[in-house]
Amino acid sequence: MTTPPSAIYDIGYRHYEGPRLGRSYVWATLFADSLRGAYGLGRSARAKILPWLLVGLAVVPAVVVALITALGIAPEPPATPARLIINLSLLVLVFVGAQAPQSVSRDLRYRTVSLYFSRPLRRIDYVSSKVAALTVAVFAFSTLPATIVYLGALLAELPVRAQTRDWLLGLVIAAVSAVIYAAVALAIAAWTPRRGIGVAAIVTFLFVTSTIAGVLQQIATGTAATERARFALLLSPSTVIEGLESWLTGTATQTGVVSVDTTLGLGLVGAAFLLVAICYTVLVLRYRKVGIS
Amino acid sequence: MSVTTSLRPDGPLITTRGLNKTYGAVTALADLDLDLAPGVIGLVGANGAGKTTLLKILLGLLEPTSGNATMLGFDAVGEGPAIRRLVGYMPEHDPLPPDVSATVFVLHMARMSGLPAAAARERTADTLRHVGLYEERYRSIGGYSTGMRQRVRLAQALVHDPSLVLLDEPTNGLDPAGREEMLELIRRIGTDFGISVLVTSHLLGELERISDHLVVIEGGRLLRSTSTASATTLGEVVGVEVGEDAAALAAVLSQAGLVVRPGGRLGTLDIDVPSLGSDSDSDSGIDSVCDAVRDATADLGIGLIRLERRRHRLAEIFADPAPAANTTATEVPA
Repeated sequence: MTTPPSAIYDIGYRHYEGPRLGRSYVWATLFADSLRGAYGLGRSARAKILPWLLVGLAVVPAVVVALITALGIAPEPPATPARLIINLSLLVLVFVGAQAPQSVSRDLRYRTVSLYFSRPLRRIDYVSSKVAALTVAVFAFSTLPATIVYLGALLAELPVRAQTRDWLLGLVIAAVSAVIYAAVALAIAAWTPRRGIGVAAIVTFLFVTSTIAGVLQQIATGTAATERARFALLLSPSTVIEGLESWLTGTATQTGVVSVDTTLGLGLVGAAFLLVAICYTVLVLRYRKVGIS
Repeated sequence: MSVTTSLRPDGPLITTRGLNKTYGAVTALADLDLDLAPGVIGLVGANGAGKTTLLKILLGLLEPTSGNATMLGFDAVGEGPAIRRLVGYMPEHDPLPPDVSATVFVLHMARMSGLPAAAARERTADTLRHVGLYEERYRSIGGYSTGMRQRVRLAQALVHDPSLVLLDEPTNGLDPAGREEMLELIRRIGTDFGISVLVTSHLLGELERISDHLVVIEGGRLLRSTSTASATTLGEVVGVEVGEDAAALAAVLSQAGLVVRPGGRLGTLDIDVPSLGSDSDSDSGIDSVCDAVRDATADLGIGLIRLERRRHRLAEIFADPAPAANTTATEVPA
């Protein structure tokens, strides 16, 4: 029997004597891979289409706002960075809905988790690095348009101090929405190996809850319960973010609530913390069992 | 943070004492006692015999119901992370995402084992070459054949240079040629690479050729734990299938001094290959049996449908009541 030319194995095996790095390095490796994966980097061309299409869609209105400001068409920016992020929440929602399953359902579907968990990686580290990676990805996604608007305002030579304050508020809102959306989306996506189902479940959940919150507000507004209608904001991740934006910037929310006072504001902060804690616990419990059977 | 661990410890590779694992009413492992020294270890058992359960307990991924297990000197129950740092695992199923190339994937897995980026790149290239993946390693895994995917699975288990690799059914789904190549590769991991191997299969025949030690389990119980030297004394068999007159053929062959038994089906015979001493001569034994069968069928004027060379079937070892040396100690620690 002749050896096929493709079978030249004999180059001698060399053992690895170098360092084996510990827990934080492994965590960072998974974090970096997941963060890159959220934008399709290091993946196939097809995986890049959706995230970058969404980035494009988010940048366009920001550029328009920036141009209107910079060219002096309007004396004030048509939208503050924070409000722009809220207005773009549909895109943020689609982004997180599509990329959370891309991050975790993929590992479940191809059972790559079994390779991760047969390595030193701890399960809790898997969860925390996936959550952190998606959070940073979503934060970057909403920060970009907010920053474009800010640059437009600076070009128009509007007061730097006020504009910077608005921009920083925008970053806070971007961070809050990233933390909340990433946790919720991953907690849902971790239950299905099917990417499509994950996408549908996340988007449906976020839409339905915010619609319920909105409808309840509409029904109650103008009745004796108007005062209490504001608390409907607590009912969905999207309205919690919206309410926090309104509270921090001292402006009215989109959906009709006149103002968010301190009580409601603190309630919203509590709701945000509770929501993230629940999602994180769900993920930890979920991954305690995954990959064993 | 950099941790340099001493690899390749001396002492026993794997020990288990009174290892039990039950899933509700189902017993996956029962009172398993094993003492295995470094080398290539074949773990044989039918599907559902508890092979994968044992591997997962040894990796510290699954907690035994009772009993204990150590691997590389670490306790499988409490020191799972330490074990998994030194061990490579190739699962039975295909764990490869289709949308990345073999290089990207194996590199990622090397870094997930703690190798710094530069070392991980170097070892990824080396390991993929060792398992026989060349230009195709830059293409997406989605387009790979079963054999190529199997090589990637093996590469990710080897890339961090473990002291021991656990290979769960590595020949599953491969064609005969691919099977041979995979077995040869596993043998080389044990001999040339100096990495201990625990490899499972439901086919005794393929493991006994490459293993130093064979463990046979059935229904979660240990049937045999024996060095391959004694297992291979079972010898080889030539299977014959003729359309008619199997009895007449058996009579002629028996007269010629061969040990002939009826085969599994009508019109088939099993003929033991006479042992000629050292196993390098086994081919001549086979040749003499085949010649005898050819001549006998020609003389009798009957049609020869099939003539095949094989090992004793796993069922024959299962049927063998001889207990293994270390099945006697069944004391279960509280």
